[in-house]
Amino acid sequence: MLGQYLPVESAIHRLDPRSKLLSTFLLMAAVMAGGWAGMAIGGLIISAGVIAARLPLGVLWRQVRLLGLIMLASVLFQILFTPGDIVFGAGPVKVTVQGLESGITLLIKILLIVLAGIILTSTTTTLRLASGIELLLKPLGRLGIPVHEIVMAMSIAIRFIPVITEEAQDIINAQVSRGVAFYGPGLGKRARAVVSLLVPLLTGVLRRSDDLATAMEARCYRGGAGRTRMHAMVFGRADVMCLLLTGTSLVAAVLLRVTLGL
Amino acid sequence: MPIIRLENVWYTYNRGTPIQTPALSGFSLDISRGSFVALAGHTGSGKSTVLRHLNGLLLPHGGRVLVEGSDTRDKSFRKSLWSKVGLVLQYPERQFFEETVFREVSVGPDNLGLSPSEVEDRVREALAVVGIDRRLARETSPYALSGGEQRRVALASVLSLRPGVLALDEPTAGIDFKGRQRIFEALVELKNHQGVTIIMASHNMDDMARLADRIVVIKEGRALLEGTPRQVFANHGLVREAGLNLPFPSEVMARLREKGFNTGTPALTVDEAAEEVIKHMGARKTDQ
Repeated sequence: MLGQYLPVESAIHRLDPRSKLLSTFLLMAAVMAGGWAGMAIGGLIISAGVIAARLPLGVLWRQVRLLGLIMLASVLFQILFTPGDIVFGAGPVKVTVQGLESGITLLIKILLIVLAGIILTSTTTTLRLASGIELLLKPLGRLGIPVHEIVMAMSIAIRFIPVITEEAQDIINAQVSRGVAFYGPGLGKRARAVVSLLVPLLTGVLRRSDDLATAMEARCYRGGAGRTRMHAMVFGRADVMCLLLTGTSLVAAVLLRVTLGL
Repeated sequence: MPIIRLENVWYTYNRGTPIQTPALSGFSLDISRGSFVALAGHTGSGKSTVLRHLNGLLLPHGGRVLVEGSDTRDKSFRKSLWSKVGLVLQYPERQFFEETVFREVSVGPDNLGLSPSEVEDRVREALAVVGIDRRLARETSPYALSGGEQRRVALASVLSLRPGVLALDEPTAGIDFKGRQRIFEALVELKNHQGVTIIMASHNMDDMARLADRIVVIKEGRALLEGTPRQVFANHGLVREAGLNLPFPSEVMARLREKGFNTGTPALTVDEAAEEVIKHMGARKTDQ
């Protein structure tokens, strides 16, 4: 799966999720906003990141390949339909110098951004990511937004995806065993089949939510109020360095583009 | 000829993916018409996988499954298989989606294309077997019933297909004593009065000792033991190896035997066990 957490021991894995989240955004911004300099700096940092995170290159390649089709389509579109000095082609479909340039730029930028995202998610468990997001958004709590509760709800939703998927399969099995046709002719029959899946699934989800809420309350969960953490998240030197690095790369990328056009 | 034959069946879940799990490794079984076969095994042994092969929900990766002589791999045969082999999965009340009990039980017969009056007959019949008052059926929502009643309605919704074979995956899981009695009564009636062949997966040995003609002990996807309850429970070493316990009376007798008491054939009921003990105590008394 794309961006799946890879349990490896590395310097990047040990970083605070907050600094990783912020650094990833800064890096992505540097790559997007910058020109060739931005891509070069971004590429360097991301390569260093891949090495420091000790991610197996084979796994990375397979994940990047998953997006291959989309990337190729966007790039092809850029190459073929950008107006400018023609290299070859005719009519509306032509390959121009500008087209080639923007196509290649787009390819590199997408690749770098995807890699940055993969580094983030493969070195941080969803639980830590959620905690990081929650802490970063905590100031919004002053505006009355229930940050903790929202993040908790999203984490639970993600965690339950495999459970619900399995239940859906069980329900389909039960209905097929009573002759409910999920495939085959007859729009009316298929509509009935969908109902026979959705109603029990929804009922199951509601029942689970109820049970889960009771279970959480039984363990004294009261939302975010006064809630502490078992693993305290503390910013270390490595985190500060990471932020400085990505922060300056953004500034450098933008400056170089604006002043020297790189 | 056996009504169902599983020939050296192999099955692996998620085959070819990193998360593949072997479930059946050369499982074979013959089920004779009209018999009550119990599949005993602990969780993960492959019981549910076997049941799902019986109505064509799963197709074997190796070996074959024959129902009334026809291979389940035959697509056209499979199209009508669901009504011949009624499969009741675990916690079947989770499949409810209709507004009334009547409509829920009529889902099967409707899909068979029967006329409204035929459907009504089937529903009435099925509800009678499981002991649900049919006068409530048209007005009550399945969700308004108790757990035991819901389970029986779910059972009825498969019985309304009038299947010649009934395959059940732990039909009494999570049901109280009275509810279990009612379900077993329904099964016994189906077998004795309608000649329905029953295959039931369970890990309650006491129930199996009482109800089954034959027991198959399954371990790691293979049949470990097969025979009448008495034959199977005489093998208490193998039964325990499969992660199962013996029926309570047999367990008591087995432990007595381990302590040196020379008791005879395995007792399946409390009465038998009592007789054995009395006989043995009586014998010892005359020795002194």
